[in-house]
Amino acid sequence: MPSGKSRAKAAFWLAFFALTVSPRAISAPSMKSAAGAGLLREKAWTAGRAQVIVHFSVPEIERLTAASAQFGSFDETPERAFERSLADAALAKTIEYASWKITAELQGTEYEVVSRFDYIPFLTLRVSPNALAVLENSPDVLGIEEDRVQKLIDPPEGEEKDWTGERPISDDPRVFPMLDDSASLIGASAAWDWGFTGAGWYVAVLDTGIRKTHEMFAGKTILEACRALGEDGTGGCPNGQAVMNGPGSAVHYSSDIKGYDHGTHVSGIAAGRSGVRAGIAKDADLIAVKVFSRFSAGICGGEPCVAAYDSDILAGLNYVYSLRGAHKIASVNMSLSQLFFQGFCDSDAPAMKSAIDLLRSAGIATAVATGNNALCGIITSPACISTSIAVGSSTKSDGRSWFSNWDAAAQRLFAPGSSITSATGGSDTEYRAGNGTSMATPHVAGAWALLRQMLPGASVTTLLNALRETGTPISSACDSYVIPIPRLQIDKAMLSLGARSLTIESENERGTTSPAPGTHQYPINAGIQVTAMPAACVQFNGWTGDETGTANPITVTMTRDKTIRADFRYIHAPTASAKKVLNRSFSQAEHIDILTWRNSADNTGLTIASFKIYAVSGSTSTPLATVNADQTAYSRRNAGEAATRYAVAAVTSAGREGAPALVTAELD
Amino acid sequence: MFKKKLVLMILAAAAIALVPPSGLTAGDAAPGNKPFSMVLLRAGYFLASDAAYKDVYENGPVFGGEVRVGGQSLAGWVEGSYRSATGKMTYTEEETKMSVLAFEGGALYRFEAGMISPYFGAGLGMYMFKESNEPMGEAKQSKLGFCGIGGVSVGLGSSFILDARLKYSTCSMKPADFDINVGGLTLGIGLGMKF
Repeated sequence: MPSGKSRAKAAFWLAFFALTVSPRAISAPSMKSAAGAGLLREKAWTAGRAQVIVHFSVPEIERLTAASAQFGSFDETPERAFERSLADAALAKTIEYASWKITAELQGTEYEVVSRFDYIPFLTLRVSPNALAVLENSPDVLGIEEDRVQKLIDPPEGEEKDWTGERPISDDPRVFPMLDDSASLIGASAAWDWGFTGAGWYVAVLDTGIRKTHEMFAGKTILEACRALGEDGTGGCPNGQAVMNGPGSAVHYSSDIKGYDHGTHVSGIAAGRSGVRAGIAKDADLIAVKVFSRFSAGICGGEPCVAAYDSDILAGLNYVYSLRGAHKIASVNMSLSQLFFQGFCDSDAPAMKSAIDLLRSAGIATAVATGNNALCGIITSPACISTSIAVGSSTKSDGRSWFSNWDAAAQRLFAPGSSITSATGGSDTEYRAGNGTSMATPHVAGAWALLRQMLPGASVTTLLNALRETGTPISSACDSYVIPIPRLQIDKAMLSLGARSLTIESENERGTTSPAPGTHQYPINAGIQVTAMPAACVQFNGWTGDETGTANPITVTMTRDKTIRADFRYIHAPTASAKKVLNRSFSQAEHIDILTWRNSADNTGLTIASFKIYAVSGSTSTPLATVNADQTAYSRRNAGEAATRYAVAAVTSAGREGAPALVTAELD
Repeated sequence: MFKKKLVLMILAAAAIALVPPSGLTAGDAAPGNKPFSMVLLRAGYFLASDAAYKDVYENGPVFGGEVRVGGQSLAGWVEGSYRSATGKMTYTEEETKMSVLAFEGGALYRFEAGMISPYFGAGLGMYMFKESNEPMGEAKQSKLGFCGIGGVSVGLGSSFILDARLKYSTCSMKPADFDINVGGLTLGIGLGMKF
């Protein structure tokens, strides 16, 4: 069994090899960058064609993009919706027109348009070597990159189980509560208590699809879409096309395909909910975009797998962007990886960066997994894009997961990714524990929904800075524990984004509250449930101060600093008397204890609903009866000849019982 | 012990009274001790001796029948009587019911004075008491008691008799919670046939 040190060493040499020996592993081929041009040309000549993503110039693209992206993903008025649609249309039409210019230049060559993207100035083409040469020489083409295949993120290998650990969790209580544990660890549970559950927000998951009938997704709105070219480019969606929207479009493959239900597992972590099993944004809805198609063994390296072209991912991201007006989208989850990069990779993946930037400009974060190769100083694309939220995996004891790729510069956050239980595709009730940065990433995507619920207009940068500043630092052996990377800590981030104080007052001898009387700090906009807990013989009478009314508990929305006071009222004992009388026939007899009372004048203003009568023996009171408030007497038959002690107490309409009047019934 | 002796004495007296003198038949009885028998239907008013009885059920009517057999002076008698009453519990005033079925018998001595025959006697009785009510259920007990009678019979022609009588009975028992006495004084009249 390799030790942590030997793993780190292996990771170092793997990274070294990747950097020095295998250029493809560290840098993708792209034209108008000398290193990639030759590779692309060679590929086109060898295969007779190449699938490329072309970056082309669009007049005023920055202005048009900014005009569109200023319409973020939160509640909008009809006027703003109209303005957004105009801005989006202007951007899309301008890009489309510019793309025609590119295809017009290709007339006379062999090419095929594979994908167009509405909101980024890129175009996917399948081109012959001649067409590639035309593109290279076109003044309108800013860059050409290969449309690479993104495989489903490799599960961690080694002595620990991978995420498809083949262990149904539903019957294994030892591992069942892991997701609950991680939610508590990262402060999601506290955020829930503050009313931030992701309700009203969507998390988009670009993955293998979803088993939307799983109990973890019951009651949720799940928007489905598919953007999958398929291995041969003819379409990998359930309808046989490359594009599909609506119900059934994100259904996952059957279980014979490795990783078929990866998207279901990831979605459960981000926003699932079934009873006590809850994802991070447990009340959020989901946008499931299936971007992975079935690829043959040749591409997958031995056995069929699911994979996606960059184009599929870009199309998925553009689709999410297109939904931002109609739906409040907090984040995109991408638990996928491709090539290894040291540091940022913006120049090597301009299309992906452009799509992620666009979403970020609209306030939508893109959380991406750093990969499971146990590498130091190297993470995979597209996590290496500087504007993504690159997420590594940590353990529940706040160490770096042994498999998690690490880069102090490019990796933004750690989140729990070891032994995380979530939904699987096997059945609607099946769960499984999984390990991987794939599991860590949806923790962040879900967290974003909670943060956006708190601050709907906050930018990705603002929220990320808060998370990075307040996260629990996790350092790694990769750099001898020098530079820590913060682990997601939602509750602290929320407080750092804006705290409001709630001062709760109460008369201590009359009752207390939960949270306890005193001054507490909560995130702005939090909904704090405050419960008044009256002492014995006391009724909660209502709230005064910044909140009024008699509701108990009450939810205080922390829009500003507030002070509330719980008022209590003592319920006085009634005035009571008792006697014991003999009731006889000729030969038979019983003793009847007769209690009479009247309500205390001090209870004026309290609504007495009933009186409760107890038999008292020593320190034990046994309830005998509850009688209506208009009743002023109670008789107990066959009470025996001995003197008996009774208690009579008023009960208010709020169900609170007052002080008892103690009386003794005895024969005269 | 005294009670047993008293019972035995009364039973012996009744037996003597009911057995005709030896050697005589009804037709040739000695003068002054001519055998006779009579059957009477009785109605009366019962005055309870137990104050609790009166509190709950009050005094009231009692009905019965008597057979008297014997000589002209000494006779035996057996009698059955039934009294039932509905009363109220002392505090709650809920309804309660009671009945006493009594079988009594004994000996009596008659003074022949023409059509009018005063008499007195004593006897034993079996008193079957039952009381029931909703709150406390049923209580019952049967017990032996004593009775004494004194009255006068008036012949109405050759076959009928009108009888007026005082009877005092006493029978203590404890069927439930209290010691009670189901006896008392009965003022009654009877109408019978003489054989």
